Amino acid sequence: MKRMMIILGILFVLSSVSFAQQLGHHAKFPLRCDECHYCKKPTYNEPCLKIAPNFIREGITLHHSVEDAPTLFIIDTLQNKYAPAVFTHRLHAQMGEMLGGCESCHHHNPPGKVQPCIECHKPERQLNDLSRPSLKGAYHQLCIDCHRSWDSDWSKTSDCYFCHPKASEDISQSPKQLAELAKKRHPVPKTPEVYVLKSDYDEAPVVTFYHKQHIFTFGLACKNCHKDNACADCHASDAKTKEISLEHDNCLPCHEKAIDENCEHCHGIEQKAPFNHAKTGWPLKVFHQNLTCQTCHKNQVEFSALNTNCNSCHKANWQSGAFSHSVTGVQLDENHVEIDCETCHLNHNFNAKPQCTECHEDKSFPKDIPGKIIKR
Amino acid sequence: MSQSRRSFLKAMGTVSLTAVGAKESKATPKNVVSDDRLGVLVDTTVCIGCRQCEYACKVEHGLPAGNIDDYSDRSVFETMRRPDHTALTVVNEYPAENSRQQSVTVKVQCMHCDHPACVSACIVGAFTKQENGAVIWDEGRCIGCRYCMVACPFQIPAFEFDKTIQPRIMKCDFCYETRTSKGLPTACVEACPTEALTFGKRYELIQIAHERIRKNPERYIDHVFGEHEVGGTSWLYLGGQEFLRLGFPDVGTNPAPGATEPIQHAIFKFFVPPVALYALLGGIMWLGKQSSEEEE
Ligand code: SF4
Ligand code: SF4
Ligand code: SF4
Repeated sequence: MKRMMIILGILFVLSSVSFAQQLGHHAKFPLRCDECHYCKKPTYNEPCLKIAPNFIREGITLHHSVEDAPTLFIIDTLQNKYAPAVFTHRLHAQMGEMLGGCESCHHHNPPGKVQPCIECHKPERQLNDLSRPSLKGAYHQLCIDCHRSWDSDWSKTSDCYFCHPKASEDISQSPKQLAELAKKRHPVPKTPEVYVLKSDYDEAPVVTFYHKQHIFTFGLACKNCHKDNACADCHASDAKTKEISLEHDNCLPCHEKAIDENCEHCHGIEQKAPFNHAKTGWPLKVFHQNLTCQTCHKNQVEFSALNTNCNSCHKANWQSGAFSHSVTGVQLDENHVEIDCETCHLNHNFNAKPQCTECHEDKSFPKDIPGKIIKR
Repeated sequence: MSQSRRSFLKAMGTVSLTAVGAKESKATPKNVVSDDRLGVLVDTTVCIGCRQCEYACKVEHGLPAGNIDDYSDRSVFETMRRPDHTALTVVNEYPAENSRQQSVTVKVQCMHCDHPACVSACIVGAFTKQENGAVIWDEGRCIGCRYCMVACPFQIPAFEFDKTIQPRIMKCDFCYETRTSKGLPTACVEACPTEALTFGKRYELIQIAHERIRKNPERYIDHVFGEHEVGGTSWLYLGGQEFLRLGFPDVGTNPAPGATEPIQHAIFKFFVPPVALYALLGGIMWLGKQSSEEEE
């Protein structure tokens, strides 16, 4: 046996010397041949190269927004059996943002802009590259993978007719229905006010997470946190009874410092009160309370105290001479409109109560108003 | 390397077959499989249980197929079905253990074993293993003894019990006559909308199967059913959970269960020569397999 192997081996080595010379340096790459070639014996004339081998795949490098995504695709390759399928692409792009972005479907995208499926998945199954599904296979594998993930009894959106209507229910020719579909978006999910979770940190086991506040006060979009969710996380039949869990990683992008140094930011003995800006020494009033955090805390991820001098934010037209006092809600009368700011706002401290004593012994704000109140 | 040895062994196989073949009776079953033999890879994590394959198979074989719309009725999954004389392939549903899947649907048909027990068991050579991997049955030779049904480790061959005249053994024939003998994909493969079924050369399918496992280790268990089971089969399966919990029998990796041999030995002693031929061919294959394993 061994001798036979040796003889065969020598024969083979002799016969393949010339071949090995041709292979040149790239055969020495630390890769298996079939990572780039789909056939057994690639030659220079027929290298049978895979289109996008994994190791050079960077994926999409030129992203566009969901609102720039194509709205609808009408897929009619199976027209003999079903009416054309209308695929709500933009709706799916929007939903995809919470699943992993465009890449969750446009996987293996070569560097550059998003490629349509047909770029790699050809309508006919390629028998020389069996690892790549045809267009139809690719559609079905991707679509059904999500659709059935929450639809265990196939009653909702994953039977054939959901995507491929019966001929009598063809909507691909109805501009009105198409326009409606193009507008369709995933409804904004209900956002619970607060989650009170129990952690295994014994000293302060209760973690309070104000979910709604993170969205409406702190201005986070769903996709900022929900990046790798699956549809089934919310839509599976048992999703409602599933416990939600929060990992440090979820909070890390914004709360790195707190996670490193200040456990009490989230952990406590009991439920914490929601964030209140007044506790920072700067209560938010009429105008400021409607702003998003980043409007003032520009380019900050973990917010820190700002200079409370109005001019530190209101730069351009809040200098004396250019300032219209009416934006504060007090329209100055003609006696006061010409006066320098610091006559009333001593030391330019606009936070403190304005003083009238420089000119009037018997007047004080807010009992007396140097003009009229126009809004509150 | 493997290529040249493969061709060498193949040539040897053919030579010895012609040498012995001349003396053999007509009933000698062929058992020369090509290295390029075909197969189908079934990815049970992709299958959706639409049963289009069942429908297509019936149409291809002229069996009553009914209305295609009825195939989306998933209540059939409430009972486990076996392929029988009315359906050469069936799809069954199993509870999923991998959270990626809600349920797993598994298509069942003849595995087209590399060392088919049905072929060994058939005393008149009605069953043959074709060079392209297909195991087919010849109506003209069958004497209706049904040894094949007993021998098959997957309980595949079925018998037309309802027919009194010329009842047939029915099993998936890999669409041999109409398709795979011409290199065309089987009817079920063509019908499968999700391409859960991949038709191609067996060795390529094995590569692809391992590639998928390598790329998605959470999706698959690291096992290609049929790569080694009963000595290798043309149909191969990928799964997200143990195959025992997908309705597959615990068959081990040894070919041709011994149960079939005593039948032949006891009753048809004069059929020993074919057995000797098997031993020779099996020996050559074994050598080939050993050395390719050594090489790996
Ligand atoms: S599965 Fe059964 S019928 Fe099919 S080839 Fe193997 S032994 Fe024969
Ligand atoms: S290969 Fe042919 S005979 Fe076998 S299950 Fe598929 S369609 Fe039916
Ligand atoms: S046609 Fe394909 S997806 Fe449908 S049941 Fe058969 S193997 Fe599964």
